[in-house]
Amino acid sequence: MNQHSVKFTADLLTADSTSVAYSTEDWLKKYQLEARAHLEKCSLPTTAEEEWRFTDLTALYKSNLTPPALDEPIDASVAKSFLIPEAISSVVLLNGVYSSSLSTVSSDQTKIRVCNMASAMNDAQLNASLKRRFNSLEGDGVSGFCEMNTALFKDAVVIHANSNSSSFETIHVLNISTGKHTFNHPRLLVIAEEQAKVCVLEDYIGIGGFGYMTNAVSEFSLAAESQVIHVKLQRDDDSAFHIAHTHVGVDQSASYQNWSVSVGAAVSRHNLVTRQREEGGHIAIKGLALGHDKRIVDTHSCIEHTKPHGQSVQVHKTIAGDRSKVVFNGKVKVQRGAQQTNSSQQNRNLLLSARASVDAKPELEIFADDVKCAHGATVGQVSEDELFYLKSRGLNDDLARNLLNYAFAREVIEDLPIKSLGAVIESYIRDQTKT
Amino acid sequence: MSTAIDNIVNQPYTAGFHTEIETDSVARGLSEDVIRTISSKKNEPEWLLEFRLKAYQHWLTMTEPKWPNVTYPKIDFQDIIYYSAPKSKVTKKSMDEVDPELLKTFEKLGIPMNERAALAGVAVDVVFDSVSVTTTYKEKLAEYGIIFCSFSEAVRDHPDLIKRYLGSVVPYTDNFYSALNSAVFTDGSFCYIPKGVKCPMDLSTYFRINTQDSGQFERTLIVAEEGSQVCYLEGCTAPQFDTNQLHAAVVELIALDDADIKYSTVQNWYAGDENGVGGIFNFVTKRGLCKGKNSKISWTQVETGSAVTWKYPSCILLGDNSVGEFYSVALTNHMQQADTGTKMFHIGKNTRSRIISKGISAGKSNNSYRGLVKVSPKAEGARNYSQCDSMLIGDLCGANTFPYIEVANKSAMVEHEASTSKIGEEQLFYFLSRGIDSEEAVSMIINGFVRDVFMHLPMEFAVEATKLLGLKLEGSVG
Repeated sequence: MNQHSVKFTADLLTADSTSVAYSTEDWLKKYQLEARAHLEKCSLPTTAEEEWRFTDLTALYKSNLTPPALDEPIDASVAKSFLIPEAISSVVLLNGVYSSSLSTVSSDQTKIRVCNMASAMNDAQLNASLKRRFNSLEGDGVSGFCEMNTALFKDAVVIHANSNSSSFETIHVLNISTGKHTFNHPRLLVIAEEQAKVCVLEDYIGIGGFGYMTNAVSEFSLAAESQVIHVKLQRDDDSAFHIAHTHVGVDQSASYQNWSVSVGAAVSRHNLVTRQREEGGHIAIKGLALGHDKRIVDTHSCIEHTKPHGQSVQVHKTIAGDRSKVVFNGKVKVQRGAQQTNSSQQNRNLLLSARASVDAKPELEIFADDVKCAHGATVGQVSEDELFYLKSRGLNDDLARNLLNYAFAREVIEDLPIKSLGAVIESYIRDQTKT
Repeated sequence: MSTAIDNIVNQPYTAGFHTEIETDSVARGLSEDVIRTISSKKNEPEWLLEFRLKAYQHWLTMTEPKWPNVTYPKIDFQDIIYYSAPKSKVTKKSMDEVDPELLKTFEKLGIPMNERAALAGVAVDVVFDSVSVTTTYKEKLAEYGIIFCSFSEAVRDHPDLIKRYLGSVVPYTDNFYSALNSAVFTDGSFCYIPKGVKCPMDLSTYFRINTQDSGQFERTLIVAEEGSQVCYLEGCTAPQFDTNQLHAAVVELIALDDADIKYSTVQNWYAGDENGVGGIFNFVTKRGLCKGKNSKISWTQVETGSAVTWKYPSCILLGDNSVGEFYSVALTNHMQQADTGTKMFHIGKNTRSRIISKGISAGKSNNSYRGLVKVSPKAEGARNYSQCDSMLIGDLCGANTFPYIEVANKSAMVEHEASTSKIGEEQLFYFLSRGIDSEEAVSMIINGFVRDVFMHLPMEFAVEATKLLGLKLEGSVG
């Protein structure tokens, strides 16, 4: 076992004295104790494990992280400048803790309830629902970081969309990190009841923070015929470590649409696991990851079809520039009996620099015969013909290249439902794909 | 299925018989003494014994690979006979001198050596268990300066070549089974094509596993000098035994400047019965080194047998402008498991590789494609195209694709596509509406599915392979 990982795991489990205060709810306390016990035995993953082979976390394990200060000062106007106008409710977590002064929650809580874990547990009905849906993590894509989060998370944001929510109202969950070499474990739980509709923006940003670790876990539970739009924007500080696990369960004929955009952090890893649990679920995932400077950006997605008539579409695009390293592992699983599944996956990687590298692994695991599954992966560079075309129209080489890089990335966010965010992401693309 | 295939389908496993020949075996188990015994029985020089012992020492430090997507009972390496050779050991000059029992065996397999060799213009180096029995066409090949002989003969007659190239592509440290093979290999084939020579005929080896419980540890080494060309065929069938047998071969190919090696395999080891009892464990390391500029190595394989297959014929594209190709059909039925694919290492400039893999799973079998395309930082202008298609027949089998793509050069172009499908009702309906019955339709669809690979097989192999597919899919389609 890797000594750095062992030490880091032990340090984090003991660093925060307040984390020993377990939940008063027995069911939650049980999860926390189990997670801690398991972590004490197994510690966090290293490159020796197949799933983490390409993502070296030694730099993280060697850094000395401390718990964030609870009264870190922050300029409210700077924080609020990141909020989007479309959101009916904005929840701001400062270093993993709910900030009531920065958050604005809609007064109408009858359609979509937005609250933190503690108040959700005070509501008997919601508590029962939480109990059923919390910690849905199992199987593929689960790692020691999930357990770390379960054992140590301070607070969780709960978004509960009732059946009468019918218009994709947007909830913005903004995670701000201000600490230097600190850690936080944000947690998000989204529950969509039957036929509910909701749009969630999960947003990570560093304001003045440096070398910190964000270890996020988000769980989505979609009841029959519900529809959820989920946008995850990772724009953590360039020195930060961002580890995120997203777990999604899709019931009968429900639809889950995801946009995952990764434009920040020194090392980032996103495990996106979606499971079609009942017949006829629909999963659509669009991903964009930009490798910039010396960044390592890693996306591991898993789409699992367990019942018949499921559909999934995935497009994942990456650009690797400078000395960055881009990793994509996309698994599609079709379990026995999941007949009539229709799944397609596309992975396109653009290499801009001689010192950048791309590791791609699209996987298919099929155990049903009456299915249509296809995947494609390419690694390449901007085509000479396209460059020539633009140059013949008067653009110089740099301009032409930048335009093509931008166009390549922009395709992913073209139909992003949150319009104001499109412009924000576009500026990141422009900044980070310049040659 | 067509009547022709139908006839074959209704045959039992025709290669399933056991020839009674006295064999000269060493005791079960593996130790330094066993290796020394093998080496001395074969009158080997000191350096080869050293190579074996180093490999053995290294093997002791290794553990069996766990990553392949296959499950099988643990192999007891101390319960294997590491050397068995037919007792009559005098080298034969003509077919008449060969043990008639042996000849009968080949006839039952449908390869009357002399006729087949003459008709097809193929020189067959027949390996019966571990010692090369007879080599035909040797004299004709010698006119061209081509060396095609058993490995033991090569060690005796061409020690310099063997010393120079043995383990240069697959070092004994490479993996668990290559280390084991390096320690205990008994025989195999050696082929050397001199500079500028185009081999006038296809070279072929027939392997047979005969003695019950004897592991087969073959070693093949092919060296193609500058500007030479060779086409090598390897075909396998094995008798029907209930005890699992281990087959851990090593194949090394070396292509120098402008050389071209084409290596084709039809593998039909005994796959065990419907319930997965018996069958061969086929854990093979095959690797080609495109050492020279403009060299080319092409692997074509049709894998239909073995209980468990674990095999990744690879190309190291070291020379500038070198080309690697991999064409594969892997068919699994009943309880068979296959984890097979290829590795393409792009190191030289403007290297190109092409991967076409077709997997067919039926029954309760599990078929995985696992491949790696790696472009190193200095491989300017590397190009790869991969296509992996799977077909599932029945709903109890599995098909998996695990392609690894690792690119560290920005001028590289790498493309990968994969699809999974079944024989659709609509496709069948289309055939039926044109008066073609469903059995024939299924046969045609499968033949169409594998056509891209079969067209790269030499003629007589393509015929045999088509028959094999029909035979293997008996009762699982239509």
